[in-house]
Amino acid sequence: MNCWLALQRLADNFGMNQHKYFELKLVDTPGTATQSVVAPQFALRPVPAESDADLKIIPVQVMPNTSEQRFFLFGQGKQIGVINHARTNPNH
Amino acid sequence: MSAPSLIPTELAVPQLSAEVFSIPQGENRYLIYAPLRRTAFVANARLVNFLADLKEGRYDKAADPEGVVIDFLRQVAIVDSGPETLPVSTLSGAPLPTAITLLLTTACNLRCNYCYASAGETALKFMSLETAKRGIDFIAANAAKKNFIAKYAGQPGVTEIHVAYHGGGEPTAHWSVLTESFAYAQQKAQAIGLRVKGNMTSNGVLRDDKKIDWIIANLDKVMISFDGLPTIQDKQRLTAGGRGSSEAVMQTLRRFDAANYPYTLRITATEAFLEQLPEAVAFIGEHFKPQSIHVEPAYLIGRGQQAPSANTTRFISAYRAARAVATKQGLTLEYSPARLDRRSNHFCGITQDAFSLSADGNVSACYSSFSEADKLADVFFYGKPDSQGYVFDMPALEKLRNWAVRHQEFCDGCFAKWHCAGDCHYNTLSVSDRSKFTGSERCHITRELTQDELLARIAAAGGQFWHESA
Repeated sequence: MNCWLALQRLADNFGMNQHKYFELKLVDTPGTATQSVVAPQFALRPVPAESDADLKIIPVQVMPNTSEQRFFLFGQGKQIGVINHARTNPNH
Repeated sequence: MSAPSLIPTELAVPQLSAEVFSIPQGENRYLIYAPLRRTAFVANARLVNFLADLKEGRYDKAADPEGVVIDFLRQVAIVDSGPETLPVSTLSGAPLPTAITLLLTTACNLRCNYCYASAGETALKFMSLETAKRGIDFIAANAAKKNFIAKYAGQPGVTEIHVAYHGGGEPTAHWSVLTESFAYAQQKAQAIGLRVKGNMTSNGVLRDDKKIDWIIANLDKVMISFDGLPTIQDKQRLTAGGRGSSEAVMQTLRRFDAANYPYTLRITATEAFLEQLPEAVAFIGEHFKPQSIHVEPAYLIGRGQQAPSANTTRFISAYRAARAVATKQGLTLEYSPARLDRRSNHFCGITQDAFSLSADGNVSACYSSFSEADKLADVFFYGKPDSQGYVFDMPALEKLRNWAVRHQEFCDGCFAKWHCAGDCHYNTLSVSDRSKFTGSERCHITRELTQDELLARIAAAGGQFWHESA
């Protein structure tokens, strides 16, 4: 299976529609438009992990019927292991 | 003979093989982006920490007992995919440009209230045809030289030379040298078996169908400054006589469209009219057929220096709304530093030996620094004519080359750095300390709009992750 097909299958099996979506609040990147002299710090580093035990990818959808494309919907996320299991289990 | 490795492959620690950024989205969500792997997805904090461990050479096997996360990360080239290829090109030695920008004149038929060049207030200058020819001779000779070397190296050579026309004033205000210099470039190119690619940035106020038709017949592409709504255009982009310019520009655009001529539009967004940006884009979509629309907040230089800044969150909101309108109408809207399909070390030509001639014939790397009297001329002017062609100030040129984004420590931690590539240096230097690059107000806009595009691409790719093969 080529890489792209594998990725597509992985995506298909996330089952986006099963998720409950909620609206993303506008989150600006650090530094307002008038205070941008602080060097940006987005390099990968540890973050507080809160209560999540599983490694999850959070689904993203563009909010339907909005005039501004800024608004994205985020799902609750799903364990990648569950997703990969689903990939090999047609009854999942 | 070396002994075979006794370490089973599955026990080897997976290697993070990408520069990965983590952008907080609130509520335990992080946008993970590997720009050079063309991969993005939104992860929870636990997955961020899993990746951060990999970065430090630790593999939390207990968190991924079946190795499915690692398998996914391998497929999107974040793990075990070898070193990344940086989009970096380095120039050395004397410049050998095969492209030239002729800054024909400081004269302009408009008096736009945000003009970066303060056209109409600066000394009137007009380039001589001899000055233009000298520059064209130089790039044609360079093209011939490159092709000679390429021929014996068995490599592809250059097939065209590029001639562009730009401000400080309006290029078409110096019509005779515009047309004669281009004809000369065509002759020179033809003589060495090349073609000329021509383009121009213009205010579009031509009022002469013959001139418009010359552009259509000769230049490959033109960018026209047009603020979209006639009401806005006629307030911001007045003629030297104080009249509105919208009807003249629209006449030019209609003629371009009738000939299916490729052009782009540039909207300058000022603070006073930000709310009307979506309407301006809608108007363009209803009446004209540009290839794309470039939107930039008005630069805080020239006549715009004292104006209220449009580099604000209001601009971001207006741009988002305008982009939604553009998408519905099938138009492409662009803000120059936030182009997700560009991965580069260079925002523009200033770090790549761009060869622009002022009206007096001296060499500037930047067409915003169009005059020797410019306050940043000491930064951007790096050459002058001599009897052999041109003589270059190599230390000045090396400084310019080192403005490329990979040399900007300030940008190291920014996920947008390979897209904005350090943004417009003229703008940045105009508002910041020259001794140290610290970005500008535009950085925040760039990051927000880049982030939008990433989330939109994830959504469009099925909602889980976005990945494109290099």
